[in-house]
Amino acid sequence: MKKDLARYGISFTAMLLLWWLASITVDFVLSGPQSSILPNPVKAFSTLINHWGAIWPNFVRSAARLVISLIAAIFVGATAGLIIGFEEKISRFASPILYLIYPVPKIVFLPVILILFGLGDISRIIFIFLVAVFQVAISARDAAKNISPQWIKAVRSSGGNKLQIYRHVVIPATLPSVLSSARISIGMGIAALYLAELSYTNVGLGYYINNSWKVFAYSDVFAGILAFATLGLGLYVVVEALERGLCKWNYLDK
Amino acid sequence: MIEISGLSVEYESDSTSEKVISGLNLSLNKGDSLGIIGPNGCGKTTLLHTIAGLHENYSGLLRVDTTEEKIALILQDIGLLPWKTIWKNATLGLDLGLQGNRDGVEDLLYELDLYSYRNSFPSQLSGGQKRKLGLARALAVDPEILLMDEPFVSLDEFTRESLQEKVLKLWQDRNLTMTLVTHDIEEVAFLGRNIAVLSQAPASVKTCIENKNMGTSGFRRSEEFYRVVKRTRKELP
Ligand SMILES: Nc1ncnc2c1ncn2[C@@H]1O[C@H](COP(=O)(O)OP(=O)(O)O)[C@@H](O)[C@H]1O
Ligand SMILES: [Mg+2]
Repeated sequence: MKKDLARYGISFTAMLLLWWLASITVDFVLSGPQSSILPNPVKAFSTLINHWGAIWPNFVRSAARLVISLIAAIFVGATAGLIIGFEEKISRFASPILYLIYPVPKIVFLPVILILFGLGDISRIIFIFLVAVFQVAISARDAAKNISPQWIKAVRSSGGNKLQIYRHVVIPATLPSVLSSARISIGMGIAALYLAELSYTNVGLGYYINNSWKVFAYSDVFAGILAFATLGLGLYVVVEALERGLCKWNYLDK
Repeated sequence: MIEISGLSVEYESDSTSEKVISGLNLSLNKGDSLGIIGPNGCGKTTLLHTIAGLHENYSGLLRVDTTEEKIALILQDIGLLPWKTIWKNATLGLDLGLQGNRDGVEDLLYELDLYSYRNSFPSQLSGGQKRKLGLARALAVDPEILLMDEPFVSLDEFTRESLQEKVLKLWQDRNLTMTLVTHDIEEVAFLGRNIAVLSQAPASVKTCIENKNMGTSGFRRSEEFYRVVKRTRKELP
């Protein structure tokens, strides 16, 4: 744990140094008001702290949109994925559909979503959900396909029924994959969240950053980016803790 | 207790069907033990699974004088669940709704030297300990019939013999009806009061050998034991 912290500290310092260097370079190369387009880290962090009162409501709204979408995506994606992976008959029909939709950039559905569900948060949540859900479903499907028949026989020969096979084998066997796909979906979700907050709203970190660009408030842009990073980091920490708590058998020191 | 007559089992895939057991006859009395020996791939696992009720597609007579809940099967590679602790693996049958008592499982884990590992996970056990856990899980539900599929395979000689002694003792103490499948000649001679030698696939019983003195003390070092081993070896296909 201490070692982890030390490593995080080193990476964090290195990142700040690089950022600073980039900021100095930009300042040197560009001139006029544009020279402050990449503020140094101290400026960004101090803006984050000084403008926290203004950023906070945006942070909360973004966090709510993201967390609701991701929880729905993980829940729906994992459930669908493991049923598709485990039930041979369903798999034959559902797998091709999954692979057909998976690579399509979900942004193409945005106009349809907006028309069907309006310009409010429901549409944003559905959009982020769509971006994340397929990836979770495919991970769960692949994990469910690799379940050892021995585990199922063990439950069946002890009188276990279908539901018990899901509870005692399929769900725990796929949980590590689902949680690592949840981790990946945080990054995808934040990217989708930013896009979804660019229009038809006046609250959210995406809005805050975009609006700051428009008024040339560059240090506010970076304060917003830092807020996004904090949001992502917070969610990673939560998923990591879930992994350690729920998948103990994967974290044994042998 | 178990009566099998003219049993045939096939595996059907999309186009082909493969007969794995053909016209097999066996019978076993309550409290008795049966060792089944046969070459790899002859259908031993299939036979045990059919007795345990895991295969519905068979023809012929298969009569087992107990309910399915009272049959315990130790799978060929045990089938421990990696995400469950040793305790949760041992009590799997109980958690699935079978009868049995948890105090009994505790005693069983003590007896098999697994109690101090109850909060560990299967990946932290040695091969011999995993086999013992498979045994504990099977016995946790107080079975009347115990079916074992090559339970001591890939263990060193010392561990294997000590586990065989444990099984023998449990069989005697609990009045189990026991069936053991193996390709190890000394193992059937040690644990089978009746020995059935199977033919090559599709399996049927080639010979039955009686092994009356099995289970008597010092049997493994007796002349009789070696006679049975020799006799069995001669019958192998
Ligand atoms: N699920 C299955 N589907 C098709 N064939 C199988 C299946 N299980 C086993 N077999 C075949 O049946 C034969 C007997 O297998 P098995 O009962 O496992 O033998 P043993 O336990 O004696 O080694 C083998 O030829 C094997 O390939
Ligand atoms: Mg076998």
